[in-house]
Amino acid sequence: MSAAADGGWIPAWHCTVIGAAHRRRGVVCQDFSLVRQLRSPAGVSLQLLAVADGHGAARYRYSDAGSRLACEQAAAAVRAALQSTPLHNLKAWRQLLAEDLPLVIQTRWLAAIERNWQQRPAGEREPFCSSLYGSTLGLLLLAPGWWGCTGLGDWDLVQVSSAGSQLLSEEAPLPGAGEATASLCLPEARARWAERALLRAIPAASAPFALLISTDGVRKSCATDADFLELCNQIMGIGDSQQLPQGLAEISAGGSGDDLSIAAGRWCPAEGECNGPRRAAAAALPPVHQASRRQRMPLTSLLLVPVVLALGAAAWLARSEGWRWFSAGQTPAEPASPLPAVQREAERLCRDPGLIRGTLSQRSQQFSQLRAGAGVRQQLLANAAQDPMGALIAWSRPALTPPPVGGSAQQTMPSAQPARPFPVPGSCTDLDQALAQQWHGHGPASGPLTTGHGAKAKPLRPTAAPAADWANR
Amino acid sequence: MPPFPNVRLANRPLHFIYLCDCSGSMAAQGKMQALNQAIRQSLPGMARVARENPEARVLVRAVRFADRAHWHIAEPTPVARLQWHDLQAGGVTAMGEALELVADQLASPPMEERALPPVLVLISDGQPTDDFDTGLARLLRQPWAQKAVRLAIAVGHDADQEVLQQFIGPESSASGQRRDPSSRSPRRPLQASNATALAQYIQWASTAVVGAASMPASRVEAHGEPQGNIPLPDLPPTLLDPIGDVGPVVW
Repeated sequence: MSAAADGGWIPAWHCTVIGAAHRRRGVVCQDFSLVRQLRSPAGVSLQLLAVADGHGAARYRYSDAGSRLACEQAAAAVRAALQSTPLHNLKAWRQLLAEDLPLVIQTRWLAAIERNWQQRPAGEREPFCSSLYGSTLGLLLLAPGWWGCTGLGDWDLVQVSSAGSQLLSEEAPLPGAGEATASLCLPEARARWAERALLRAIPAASAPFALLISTDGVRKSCATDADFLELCNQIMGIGDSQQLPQGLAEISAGGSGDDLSIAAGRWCPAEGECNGPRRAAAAALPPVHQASRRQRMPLTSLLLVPVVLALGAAAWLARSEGWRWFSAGQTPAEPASPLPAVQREAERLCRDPGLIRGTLSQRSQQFSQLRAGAGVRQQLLANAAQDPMGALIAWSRPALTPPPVGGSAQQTMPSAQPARPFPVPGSCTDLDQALAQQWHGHGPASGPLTTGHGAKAKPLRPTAAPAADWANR
Repeated sequence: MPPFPNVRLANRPLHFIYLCDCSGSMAAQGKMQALNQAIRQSLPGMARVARENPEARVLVRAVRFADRAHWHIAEPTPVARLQWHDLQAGGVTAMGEALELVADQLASPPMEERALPPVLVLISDGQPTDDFDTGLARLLRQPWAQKAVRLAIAVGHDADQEVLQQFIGPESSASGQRRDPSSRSPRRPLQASNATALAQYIQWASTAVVGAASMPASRVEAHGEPQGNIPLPDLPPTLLDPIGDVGPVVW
């Protein structure tokens, strides 16, 4: 599913990793998560995201199955409800989330765990008790024009947007509850769903936002709630990439040691709002001619670099790459912005200009590879934390020109005319010139080079718009 | 390079607090000496459990109470660095004041947002001589005290079982079955009638209980069924004597 022209949900993703403590003890992962793409009889899509946390202690010995069955039965229950309840009927879905689905899911789960218990070898199983399968369950539904959640237990729901992260739903603390949580296995469990049920319509003018639902191990791994919210923000930047499981595993090891589950979805107001090149608000700034920029360099650099960074970061967060993790569904997502690392590296070199030429001359292979196409550039930018110089070079690469009609599908560097390096935040004249020479010296000799916006006369700096477009040049 | 820069991760502090009766009666029959030795001998095992559970940061403190209550170990101290200095007996039993001291430290702050439920171990051989009820009420007003694993060890048979049970809280009947009043449960005061039993209880609290409290395992919250805030481990088999004594009755 792609974002609808009038706004919609981008395909959601989920991730579960075994906790460091469980791995060390040889205990199976008791968390489970899933995402289901459902469709109503009218053909309208509904995404279901579920996370569940099996309780883990010995008295809940089958809770790994309990959490899996909780997610699966929830998906089945919602699928059934979708056949008879139009998605535009918000009142009915509110009722479903608060009352009807809890009953159905609870009933289905109890039946499913009993079937599971019966399938276990008779000689090994304990007398049936639902607490053997104890699990929490958090459900998030993403529908056209609204989202809703329900469930019970200590899962958390966070909204992430350009305005920051916000905790939308958490289990209410209970006096003396300690580590205890509501659970599907409790007789009174159904009464606990309503307090976690939410349904919110999405205003027509809503800015892009993401929703992230997670089991308690994620939040408990963070030193404070502020760190948890920051983590959610950064997880959005990593998205459904190969980095995520490793990152979550490290969070568990450095934090709670618990199993971790996350599922997330993102709403985009219109096609292209969450992926593809964007013109950030700062792009409307009047262009400054390169010559005049150079004349004003000392002052403008002081004044504009923070502006460029701030606007670039804001533009990135608000409209561009921080969100691209959603755009490709299950494909690897874009990394977090390399802008800070690039800027730090530029500033480092500019503080000691004697390093510039020697440093760049050692990177001739990267210049050559970058000339060949876009793939290397993405890798270098994604690896900014480990190789900030490589990211700086990738950032500075002049824009590619489209291949000629009938030519190779791969974009190539143009030739002949001097390349204008793309503006590098935090750069200085020495670095600009050295980068320009590198791009000139290695470039083939024909055709005009362009800036990131494809205009020959575009200035090297200042610009915030390129920051927003960094991955798309 | 951390996977998520600017996100502070934290293993979760597990505060373990001894509340030790140092009244004059503890000087009798070697009780004070036995308590000092039991705690000192338990430290290596506690340190081992802490090492095995790196997700929990076990921090130990101790309060002593006699005529007044004082912090014996005021700083939350990692168990690996803990040195136990002997307690001295003398005076009466200001147990209520001891509970108030602990209550102050279980407020948030100084308690951390992400702490594990603390473990409080009250060890006494007598009856409170101050306002126990006020101290207990003040303690239990703190959410962290409500979440805490509260254990009590009665040293000898002169200990006030009733106040120790009040400190622990009502005994669980999670299974719905009536308990045999003579049966042993960590949700009841543990009766130590000699040095061996005292050492075993201290060892159990500082290892098995700390291990259970350190593990990231949630449990269900059942209305009206106070089951303790972590699944308490069983008492060791040697402590399953139904009349509550291990070895000879000395105290």
